[in-house]
Amino acid sequence: MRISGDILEDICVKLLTEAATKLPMDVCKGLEDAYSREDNIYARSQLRIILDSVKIARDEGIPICQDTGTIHIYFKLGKDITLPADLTLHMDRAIRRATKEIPLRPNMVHPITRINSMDNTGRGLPLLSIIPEPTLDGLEVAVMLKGAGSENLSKAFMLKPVEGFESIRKAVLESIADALGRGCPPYIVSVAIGGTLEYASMKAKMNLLEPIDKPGCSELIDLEESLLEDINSLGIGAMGLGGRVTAMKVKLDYIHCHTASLPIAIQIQCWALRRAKAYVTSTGEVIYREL
Amino acid sequence: MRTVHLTTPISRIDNLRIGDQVYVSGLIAILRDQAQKRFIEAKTMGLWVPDIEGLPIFHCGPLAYMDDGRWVIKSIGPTTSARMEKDLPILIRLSGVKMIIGKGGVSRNIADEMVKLGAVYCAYPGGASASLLKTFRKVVDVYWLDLGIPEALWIVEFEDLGPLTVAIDLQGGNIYSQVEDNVRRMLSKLLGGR
Repeated sequence: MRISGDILEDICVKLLTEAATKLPMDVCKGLEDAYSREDNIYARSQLRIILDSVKIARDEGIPICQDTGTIHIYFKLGKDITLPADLTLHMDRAIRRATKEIPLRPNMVHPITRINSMDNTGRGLPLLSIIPEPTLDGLEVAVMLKGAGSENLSKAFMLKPVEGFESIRKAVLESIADALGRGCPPYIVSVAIGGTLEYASMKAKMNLLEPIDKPGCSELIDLEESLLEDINSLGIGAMGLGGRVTAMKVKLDYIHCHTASLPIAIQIQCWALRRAKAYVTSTGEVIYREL
Repeated sequence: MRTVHLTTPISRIDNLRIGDQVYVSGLIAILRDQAQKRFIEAKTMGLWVPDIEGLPIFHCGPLAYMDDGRWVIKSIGPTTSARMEKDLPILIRLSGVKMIIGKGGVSRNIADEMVKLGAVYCAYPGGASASLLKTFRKVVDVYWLDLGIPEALWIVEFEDLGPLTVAIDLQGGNIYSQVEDNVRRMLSKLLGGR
């Protein structure tokens, strides 16, 4: 089935609106859980403000954060789904519309002159990922708005293969310790191990699309738990004012890699993990996932 | 935690202590990376700059648009102060500002310089813009729009902007450096123990 560019454009505008204004329920739950476990008075006051603000944004349909972030759009292609060749033009149009209609802050600038394009489009944009998903019957469209505060703290390393998991653990803990509260904790920390430098980075970001309470890679669950415990023992706390909840979740995933390499990418995600998903069935019906 | 209400221009901040919950009413100057750079360059060359003496500086890039000849702010909240910290003491000295509002704090040596210049740091959580918007009243002026909407210098009015947490006070209190000391200690324990 071929899905028209106009339909994808409308879906994308709707998803951007959802993502900008409604924090996903799994993340809200993570924040409520953090609030109930936290005993540091400063951290508790930050979490209380955050929880109240998220509710106002949802009820009134206003953006959660003034930094509407960098827009990422993902397409998971089921069998026999064809996307239009002019997909990027339609996505640019969707982004222009969303910037005006929601509205979103115009964030995208020329990297050297710093001149703002004023509509969130620009050279090399939009950031699109198209992933074949043979087990899917239809098409999944997802958007993510990643704020710059936490993106600026995300890191990738090429580690030494013989140093193994201990060097991965060290890189993650040092990255979080360096980040302190600058990237708006409580964080979601997504780490992809292996692949190549750019592939690990993409994978780590893409894994943020999955609910934070959904079990990840079964082989790595124990390591996820122990890393989360270590990160939380650092005591950075909500917004870096101290406390027991520095991260709500650690997500680990791996990709086979070259015998001479050990790439890792660490995506530090602020608490405002803004994402939304829609599903287009093989008969063309559009279903927005309840978040 | 003590609650303090302040009106701008701010006259007295030496009584503020870390942990105090502050609400600020009146005019506030919003600026970040590019406007800070321009302010310092212009002032140093003896050129005109907006008078922001006595106003708090809010590290922020608002989501703003023009509607029917009037500025509308749709979202407003703090950005990472660490990006601006290198030249922050110079800005404080040149502008006569006594309070910085932002998120994430500044590093210890910058905090020490701020304190010497008589300026405190107040924190508000990033991303909690919807709550903050309730306390926003109006845009009074905007300068240097050629830098882009997020990067311009805005003079805005708030009523009870807060609760802000005093994180760096003039008596040497600094929540961020307390946290950082603990983080460093824990990190070396976690990494050294194996």
